Amino acid sequence: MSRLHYLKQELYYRFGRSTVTLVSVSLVVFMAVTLTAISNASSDALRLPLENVGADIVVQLSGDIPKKLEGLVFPHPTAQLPADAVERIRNLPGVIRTTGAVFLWDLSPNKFQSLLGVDSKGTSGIPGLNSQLISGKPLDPKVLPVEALVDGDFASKNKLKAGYQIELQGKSYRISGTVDTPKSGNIMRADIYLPLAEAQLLASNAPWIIDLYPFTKTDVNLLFLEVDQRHLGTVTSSVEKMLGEKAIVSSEISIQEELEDLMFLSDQMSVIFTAVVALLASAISERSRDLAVLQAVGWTRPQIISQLSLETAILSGVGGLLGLLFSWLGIALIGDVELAMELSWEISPSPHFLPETDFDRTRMLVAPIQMPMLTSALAWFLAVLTAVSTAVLAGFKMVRPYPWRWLAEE
Amino acid sequence: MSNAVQVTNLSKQFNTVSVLRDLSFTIPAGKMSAIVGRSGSGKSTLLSLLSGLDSPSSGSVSIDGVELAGLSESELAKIRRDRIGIVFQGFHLIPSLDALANVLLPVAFEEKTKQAGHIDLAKRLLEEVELGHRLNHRPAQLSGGEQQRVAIARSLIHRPRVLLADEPTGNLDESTGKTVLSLLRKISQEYGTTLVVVTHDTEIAQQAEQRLHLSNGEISDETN
Repeated sequence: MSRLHYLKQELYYRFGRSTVTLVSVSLVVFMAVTLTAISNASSDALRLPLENVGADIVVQLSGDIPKKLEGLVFPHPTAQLPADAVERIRNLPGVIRTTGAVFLWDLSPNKFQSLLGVDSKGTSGIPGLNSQLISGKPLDPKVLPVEALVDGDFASKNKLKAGYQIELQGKSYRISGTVDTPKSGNIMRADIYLPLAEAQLLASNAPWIIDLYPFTKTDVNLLFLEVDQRHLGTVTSSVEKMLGEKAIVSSEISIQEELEDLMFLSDQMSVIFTAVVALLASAISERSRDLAVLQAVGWTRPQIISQLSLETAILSGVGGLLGLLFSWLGIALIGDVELAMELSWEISPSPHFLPETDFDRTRMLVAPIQMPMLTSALAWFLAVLTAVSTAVLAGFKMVRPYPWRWLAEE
Repeated sequence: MSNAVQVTNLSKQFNTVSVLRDLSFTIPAGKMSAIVGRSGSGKSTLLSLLSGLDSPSSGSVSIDGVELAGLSESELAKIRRDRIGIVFQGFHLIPSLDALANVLLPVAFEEKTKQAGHIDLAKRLLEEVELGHRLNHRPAQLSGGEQQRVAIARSLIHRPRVLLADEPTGNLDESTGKTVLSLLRKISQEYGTTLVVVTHDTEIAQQAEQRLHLSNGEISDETN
């Protein structure tokens, strides 16, 4: 009889115990891999809104409600961002680039349209906008008289196309082209896009804006930040601290906070992990008499521990592989992660509080779930390593130099 | 005649209770010795010390000329594997293994080249204890007497110099007990093994060449 024969017989004879160990380890690996995959996909989905505007952080400031909702107003209740605050944010460590914008609503009794004035630089500005052109010409801030781009859906709804005119605050603009603003996770969707300087000019002359703020032709009410990812957390908290309670700072972190329940199971992983370790240790403790018998017939402590380790390594190895197989099947079955997220008012492009607006504030953020290869390998390796370590430690505890107490008759 | 076992000033205490007090005796090689005494007299404790499965509070035990005190864990295991065979009252077979594999358990780590010889010997031993037809039966499929016979075969697989049996018939009915004991005697004689039986049964003790009586932690030689 070889030790492998003993191992095989032991695993087969203790079928229930072997199955429980196998299932437990596979469950841990399955959960670790699947939750990581879903978490990664969720993070990707959560990053989508900000990726679409080419920014890591979007900064706004909460303001007051205009006395009258008529003509051009700031989206309620966005306020003017003070120029000195913009400058201080620009100089924060970790901030790579800032892009200013003016976001406006144009309200009249029978019409609503949103307007975004964008900077001529940066991925959040005109270059990013022009990359989504579907017809006509890109927006050129140097062209006079000033032209506008319109959203594809807005254009088809209002039967507009390149070459047509659009009117804003009594001023007419030629439509240079239409853009296909991404429908999912787009936080900066507007109906009409203008060069930043033109939007600043319109805002500085809008009666219900200047009634609330000393808005000038160089001010903005929206700031996009491109940030070194290592400083995302510190920049976010610095901006919040700098702007105070009225700061509206949208970042991957702030959006993720809204979905923290998703990570509930991840937090429980350590509990599940501990339970499996306890289970493995208890399975070995149950064998105290058998281990003493092995000692009595001349097996040394290293021989017994190596036998236990080999058994546990095989069980956890196979269990881990089963866990990976189930993860792969589960991930293939789920396919995509879909996060239905209600946009908060500050990142909503439409005045949802108006009764005539049927804007659906719920956005579906979709990202494919992929098998995380590194995590899979790591989860399998750690499962085997932990199981074997548990077996070794439990073995050392159980295999004492003098095992008579386990063998003596009651 | 050489001694298989030599015990010198052996004592064992559990907390404040003194179970064995300053025992000194020898057991001659190749004979059957019985250690008798009432329940609780310390017989099994003495056997645990003779087998190196427990440590004495003081004194020494020498098996086949090897002093157990001061041996490392691995050296003790080697002594048990090479020179001592143990038969327990409760059989102590591994439930997952069949009779043949249980008998082969002490030699599981030996070289592959020796395995074939061990298998032949194990089969022969099982035949000698009249279990040649039960090689592939697990302990749960065997009666108490059959299990004890497997345990005897296991204790002899490595041809030990000393065979220690702790109440080998204690869990068996009278008739099966007699069969087991006669097998134990027969095989140990055949293999030239010193047999030490711990028992409370005076009838078994009568069959031994040497009888040691244990009472109140002290031992006396009652061999006629």
